[in-house]
Amino acid sequence: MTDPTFRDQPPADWDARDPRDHAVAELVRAARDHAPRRSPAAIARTRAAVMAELAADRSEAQPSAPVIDLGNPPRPARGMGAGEWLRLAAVCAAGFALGSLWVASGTDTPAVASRPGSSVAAVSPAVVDHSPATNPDAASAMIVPVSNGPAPAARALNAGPAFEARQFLLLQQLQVGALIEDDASELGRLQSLERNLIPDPAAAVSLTASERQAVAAYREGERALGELQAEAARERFAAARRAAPGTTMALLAQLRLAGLDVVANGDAPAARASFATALAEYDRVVGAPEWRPALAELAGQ
Amino acid sequence: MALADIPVALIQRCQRGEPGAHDALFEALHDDLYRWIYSLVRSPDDAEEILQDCCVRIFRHLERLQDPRKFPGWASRLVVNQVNTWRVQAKRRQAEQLDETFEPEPEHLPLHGRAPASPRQAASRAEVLERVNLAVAELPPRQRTAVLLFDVEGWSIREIAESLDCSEGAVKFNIFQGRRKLRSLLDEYVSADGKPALDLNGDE
Repeated sequence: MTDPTFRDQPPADWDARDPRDHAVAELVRAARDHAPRRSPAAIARTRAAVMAELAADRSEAQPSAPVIDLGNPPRPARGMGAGEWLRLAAVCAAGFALGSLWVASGTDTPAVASRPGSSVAAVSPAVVDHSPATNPDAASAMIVPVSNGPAPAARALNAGPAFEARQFLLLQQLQVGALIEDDASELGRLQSLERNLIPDPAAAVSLTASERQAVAAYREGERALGELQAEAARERFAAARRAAPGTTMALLAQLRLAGLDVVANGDAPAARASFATALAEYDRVVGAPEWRPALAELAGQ
Repeated sequence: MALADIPVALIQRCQRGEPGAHDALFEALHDDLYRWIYSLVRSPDDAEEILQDCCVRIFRHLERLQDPRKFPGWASRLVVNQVNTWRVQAKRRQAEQLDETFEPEPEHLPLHGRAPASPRQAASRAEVLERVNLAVAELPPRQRTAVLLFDVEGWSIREIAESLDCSEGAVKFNIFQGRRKLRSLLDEYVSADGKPALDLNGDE
């Protein structure tokens, strides 16, 4: 039998209301507001259930989002040495690889910092409100303000030990290629800075052939990642890791591979394991005892 | 607070994920939303459950709403869709229980025998409105939804057709049929000159 309510041919005068229709409509409107009163307990239960579901959404969205309070920023007033750059970049890269860290710079920082659940490494202290009292997100954000102007870069290259300078240069590749990719203007500024400070980067710090090879492979990996060619990116990062074992570049390539694992397979445990390997490498190469607890927490260990 | 009265600034605060914003939005909309959902499903428990689902869906997808000024229409469609989903699920559950003892739900209860003998004189405002609710519950779901959205919520025919996933003609037909049935069921509460037989502005 056909359900008459599915008929779609109304009479021509379907809206020609009987005078009583208006009264009926008034009654129905009044009855709508005559719903049974709900007890405060029922309202509270519904509210709690709604908020619990939202909280579950957030925790599912960020299964490995670390909450790290790194305390006071490392010597922001006088810039950073190469070692600190290393540490900052490694932490940023780790979070970036795990998909739980947004990296921002310049005026984008507050907007990025306000993304729910995001951890943030901010590279421009002036535009970030670090106070949990006025910026509730700060309490759950990893805020590492540093100066990224020419002074620390020059200091790193001119005054740092050769090893650190070389690592710094390697990290520059990462910074340009990955950390600041959110921000085209910042990227341009850094590239310009890099050109001015390091007319011939390879000559300035005497990269070895294998390190240059690693840098090239890493850059190709980033390019492939930008073109969403995950397999090619994976291959190039693996090549970068092989080309310069025991360097920060190998560490960063490892972290990128971990990130790809997360993206491709949603395999956070595998990424964490990969990250733990990278951390061990980082600790062996650079050494960062004061940051180990935070890094370990980031690794979910 | 009616959906149309929710401040745009509150929607924007929720979209930015500001602490406390979701609580404030829940506080602003739960009461009116509950009454509306109740008018569509006529069961307090089901209305509460659907309200919960609606709030979760609203909060979960609010970020995707590009123009916060369109919140009332967007949320309304979401509510109607959620009620429709609930109906489909309820029908399925009912079909599964057909072999068991069937307890009629409130909306299936006949009206006969429940009216006061002389409603115009004897019934309180609350009783009359309860009778109106029962009459609305008597309508088939599509007629009920079409009449309520058109005559009470002020939706356009096109909006209703989109929400119910049917033709505009079907919406008009359902409004026509629903009104006719309501007129018949509530005849004793409407005077011949087309006025409600009670003071709708009075206290309960």
